[in-house]
Amino acid sequence: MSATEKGKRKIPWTGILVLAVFMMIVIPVFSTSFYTVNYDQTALVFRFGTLHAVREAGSYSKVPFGVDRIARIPTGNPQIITLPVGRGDTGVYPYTSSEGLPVYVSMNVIYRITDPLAWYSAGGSQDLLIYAHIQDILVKKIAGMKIAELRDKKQGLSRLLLAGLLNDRTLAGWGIKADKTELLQIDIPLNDPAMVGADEKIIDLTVTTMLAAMKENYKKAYAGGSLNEDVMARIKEDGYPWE
Amino acid sequence: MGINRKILRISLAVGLAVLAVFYFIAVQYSFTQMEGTWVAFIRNDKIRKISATPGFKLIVPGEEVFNLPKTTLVAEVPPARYFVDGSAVMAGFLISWQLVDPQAYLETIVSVDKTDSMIIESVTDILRDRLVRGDGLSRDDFFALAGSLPGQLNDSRTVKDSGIHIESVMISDFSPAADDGGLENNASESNPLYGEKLRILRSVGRQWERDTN
Repeated sequence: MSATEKGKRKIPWTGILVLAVFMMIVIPVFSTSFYTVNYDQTALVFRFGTLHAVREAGSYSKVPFGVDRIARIPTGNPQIITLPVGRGDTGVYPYTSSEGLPVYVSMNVIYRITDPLAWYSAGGSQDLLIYAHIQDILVKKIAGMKIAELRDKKQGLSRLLLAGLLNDRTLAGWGIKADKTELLQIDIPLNDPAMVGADEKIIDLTVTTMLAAMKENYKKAYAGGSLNEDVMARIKEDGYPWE
Repeated sequence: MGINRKILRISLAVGLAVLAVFYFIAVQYSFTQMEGTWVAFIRNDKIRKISATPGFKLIVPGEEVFNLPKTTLVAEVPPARYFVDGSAVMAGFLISWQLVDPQAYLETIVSVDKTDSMIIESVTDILRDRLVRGDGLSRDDFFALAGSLPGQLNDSRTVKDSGIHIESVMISDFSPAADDGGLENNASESNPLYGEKLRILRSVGRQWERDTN
């Protein structure tokens, strides 16, 4: 074929146009017609905004162009909320014990989404609602207990909270169920601004409480044989130094 | 053959034009109302209609559309200083609320941010009125007062007129407040008494570490 013949060759506009229209229709249709639900999800399918179907893990087709919209809810994996939230330099908000002392308590609450639609209906505020509700329970429980009680009943407190959360109707209304609570820390925050600025009565109480806890630690360590040998011998001979 | 091609080209051009017009209308003058929302149609600053049912909706040119949430929302009342059991405490609240009357809401408030401010102001008013005077309340009374806040707020004219309903008031913070002089983290400088006792505690702590190592 000569160069002149090549230059005269007609461009197939009709073919290009057909192809363009075809691509304009087929590509968007294809790309918006299928979706996958992972093993740890449940999908809510909304058709024109109304709940149309609930799908478990698998691949599915849907009506394209945004007619069907998919909301994937993480029902398979446990969700975790850690309380309390951070504050400034100290990292956590202290709670208040029944003596009026600041006390750091941190815990994990592990829960599962049991009702995807109720969860979806809470509309994005779920984490904050759950956090606030559990924090409210924790504030009131801790305010009714002395620091010594809190430290002694660490496991008991954890179970008490779980029992409270399991029977909680508010959480059920948001489509979740508490699985487990893990108490991470109970401490008197020695450097918390509230402690530093506290009055004499509170400071004395703190020191007494902490020294009592330390004595308890010594007694347990002595019984378990985890003190240094010379300290063990000294306690055996002379008794505990504070007695 | 020539005629067929011409018809094909014209059909394609018409098809594309129809598609473009349809696309334009779909984008500009229609939307999908999702579950969990109200939609208000506003024309000339007047509410023409409020739709509560989800579905595919068309908008008349010149009309504005407002999406309003049916879902529970949360307003945060930041920690403030109150007197409880004769001591200063920092108490903060999280308040869950729902929009129940979109018409009243649009006529009075219009935005979620403004609602939050209104709720915060109402709560602070109620609490300050009861807690700042004298020695304040006992701890149990404080919790009872917090528990009664939804009722008090829902009965107030401001909340009633704004078309919202307060669902619950949750205490998000209840910690002892530092005295004004005690805000520094250096214990010995801001409170000599505490500094002294803190040194004793620390020396006991160090002793414990030595004895158990």
